[in-house]
Amino acid sequence: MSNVPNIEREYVPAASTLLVNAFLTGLTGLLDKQCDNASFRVCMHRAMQDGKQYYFQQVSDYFGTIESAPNGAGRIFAQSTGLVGVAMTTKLVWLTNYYDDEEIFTKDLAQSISESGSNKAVNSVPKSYFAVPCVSKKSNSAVLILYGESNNFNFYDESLTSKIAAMLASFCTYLDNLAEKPFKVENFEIKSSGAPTNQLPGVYKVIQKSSENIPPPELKNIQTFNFEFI
Amino acid sequence: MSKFDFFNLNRENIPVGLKPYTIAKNIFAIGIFEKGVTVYNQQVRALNLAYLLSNQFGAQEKKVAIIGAGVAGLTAAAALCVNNKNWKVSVFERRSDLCPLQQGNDTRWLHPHIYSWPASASTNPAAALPLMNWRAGRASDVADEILKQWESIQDKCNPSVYVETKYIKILSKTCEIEWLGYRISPKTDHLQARSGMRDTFDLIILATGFGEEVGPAEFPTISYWRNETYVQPRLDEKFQRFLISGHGDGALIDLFRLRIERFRQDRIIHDLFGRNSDAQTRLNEIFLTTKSKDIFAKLISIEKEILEPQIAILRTRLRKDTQVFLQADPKFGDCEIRDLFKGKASNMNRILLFLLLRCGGFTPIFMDLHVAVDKFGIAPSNVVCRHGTDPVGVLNALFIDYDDLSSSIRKCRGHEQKVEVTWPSGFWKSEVVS
Repeated sequence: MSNVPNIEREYVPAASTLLVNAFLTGLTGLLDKQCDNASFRVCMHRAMQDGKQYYFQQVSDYFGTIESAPNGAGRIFAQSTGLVGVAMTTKLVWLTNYYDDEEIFTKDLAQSISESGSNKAVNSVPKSYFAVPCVSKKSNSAVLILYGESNNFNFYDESLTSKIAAMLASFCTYLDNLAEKPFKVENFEIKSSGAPTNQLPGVYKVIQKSSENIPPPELKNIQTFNFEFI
Repeated sequence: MSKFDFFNLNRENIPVGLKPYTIAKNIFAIGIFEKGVTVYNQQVRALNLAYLLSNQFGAQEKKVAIIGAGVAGLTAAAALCVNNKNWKVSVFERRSDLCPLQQGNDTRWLHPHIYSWPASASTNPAAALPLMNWRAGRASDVADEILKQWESIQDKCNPSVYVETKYIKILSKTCEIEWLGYRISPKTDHLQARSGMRDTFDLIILATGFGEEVGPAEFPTISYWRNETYVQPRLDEKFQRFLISGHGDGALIDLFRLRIERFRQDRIIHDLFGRNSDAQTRLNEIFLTTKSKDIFAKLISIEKEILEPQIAILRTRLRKDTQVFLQADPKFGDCEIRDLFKGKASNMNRILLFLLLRCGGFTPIFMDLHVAVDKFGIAPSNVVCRHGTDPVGVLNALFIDYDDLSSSIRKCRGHEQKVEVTWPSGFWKSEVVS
C-alpha cells in the first residue's frame, strides 16, 4: 500500500451508515461460512469531493471476525490511498491474485510491501484483499467502494468476489429505487465539479490485479451517496 | 497621523480571505453586515474565519476573545479550541445564557439549507457541518443540539465563558476588553462570583450578528425569536387584520405564517413543488441567471408556463381567519410591487411571495407606516415590524473608540463574507461524525 492513511474525520449521515451496515451484516454472514476460522473484515466507503480534492470516506465501521477499532465511520482518505483508491480511480474490481503455492505468495507479498515503500512485516498484513466500486451510470464515476481484507490465504478468489459483486449490484438497485421513491430516508446529491485524478494510487503490484471477469455494479440514478433521514 | 495609520490597518496587507472579516487590526466580525443571516450561513462564516485564523496564527499561542455566545460565536469558539490547543479562548455573552435567541423558542422552524431553495439539495435537513452540527427542527431543539456539543467542547478544551456581561467595552487600538460578568464553571455549569476584569487579547471576534430587531416604539413587536401564535388558527374565531412592515426574510416568513395554513418552510415547498421537480430546476436556472432587480418581471414571464399549478394549490391553502397588509416605505425606495422582489429576501421567500401575491393572499401598500396603520385601522397589537437589527448600534455600544473605527468598518462592509465552505475536508479535529 502507498501512504499511511490519515485519520481525519468528516460528517457522515447516520442514515447512510445504517443502510450500508444492513448490507455488510448480510455479507459478513456469507463470508463467515467460506471456511473454518475465517478471518476477515469488510467496510464500505463513499467517493467524495470538497471542491478542491477527491477523497473517499469510510461510511461504516468494519464488520467481520478481525477485531477492529470502533468508530471507523467518518474517516477520510486521500484518493491515492491503497486498493480502495485504485478501485475508485479505475472504476474496476480489484482483488488479490490466486496462488497455488503459499510460499510463492508470501515472497511476492514481501516484494510488494517493499516496493510500496512500507516497512511492515509480511506476517503483519492481511493475505487477501478486494475492492469493488459501484459506478454511477450518469456520471461514470465511482460512488461507493466495498473493501475487504482477510488473513486467510486465497480467501477472496474470483468466484467469491464475483458473488460479492452480485450482492452489491442488488444493493445498488435497492439504493436506486430508494433514491427515486424515498422511504424515511432520501438521497441528497452532493454537488461535485471536475473529475478525479487518473493517477493510479499505489497497490501491492505483484499480488493484486483488476478483474476482467467481474463487472463493477452500476447505479442508474445515484451519482453521490448521501442518504439522510427525512 | 491619519486614523487609518493610527490603527495600523493597511487593508492591502490583510490576507485576501480575511479582508471581509477584518474591521480593525486583529479584530474580526462574523456576518454582522451580511445578507442571508441564517443560522447555517453564520456557522459557515464562523468556520471559514476560524480556518483562516488557524492557518494564519496556528503555531503561535493566542488569546482570543469572542463577543457573543449565539450559534456563530460558539461555532467559532469550538473550532478555534479544537484545532489550536495552545490558544486561550474566552467567550462573552451579555444575556444570562448561551444561544439566548433560540433557546426555548418553539415557534421558529430552522432548516439549514431551505432558504437557498430552488438550489439542488436545499431540502436536505442536515447541516452536515464538521462541528456544532444540527438538523432541521424547532429553534429550541436546534439550540439543544448545539449546546450539547458545546458542553463536550467545554469539557475537553476549557474555554472561559462569561455570561451576563451587561458591561463590556473594547478598546480596539490595544485589543483591550473591560467587562463585568459571571464566569460559567465548565465542570459544574454553576455561575462563579460576578467579577469585573480587564484583559488584553491577541484576537477579537465579534459574533453579535443576529441581535435584536429595531422598530418604532409606538408599535412594539414581539422579537422574531420569542414564542408567539401567529401561525396558529385563531381560537376566538375572530377575523384579524395585520400589518407587516418590512420585506426581508423575517417579514416574509411572518406574512406566510399569517396567510398560509399549516405553514412551515420545507413543508410548503414540498406541497407546492414536490421533490426535484422540473419547476424547481427552471426556477433555479432563473435565479442563477437573472439580476435581482429583474426577478419580478422574470417570474411574471414564466408564470403561465411554470407556476400556475402552484398558484392553484396555494389558493386552497390561504387562511380564512386573517388579512395582511405588507407595508413598504417609499422613503427607502420601495414604491411598487417589483421593489419587494429586489433582493432583500432569499430566493425561496421571493418565489413564495410571488405565488401569494398571485393568489391575492396579501395587500401590498407603499406608504409611511403610521399613515398606513391609521388608514387601514390596524390595531397596534397587530402591527408586526420586521425592520432588521441595528449592527452599527451594537458596535457603537461595544467600542470605546468607535468613532475612530467607523471608516474601517465601512471598508469591511464592501467585502462580502461568502457562504461557500473554504476549509479542506478533514481540517477540524472533531469527533462529531453524524
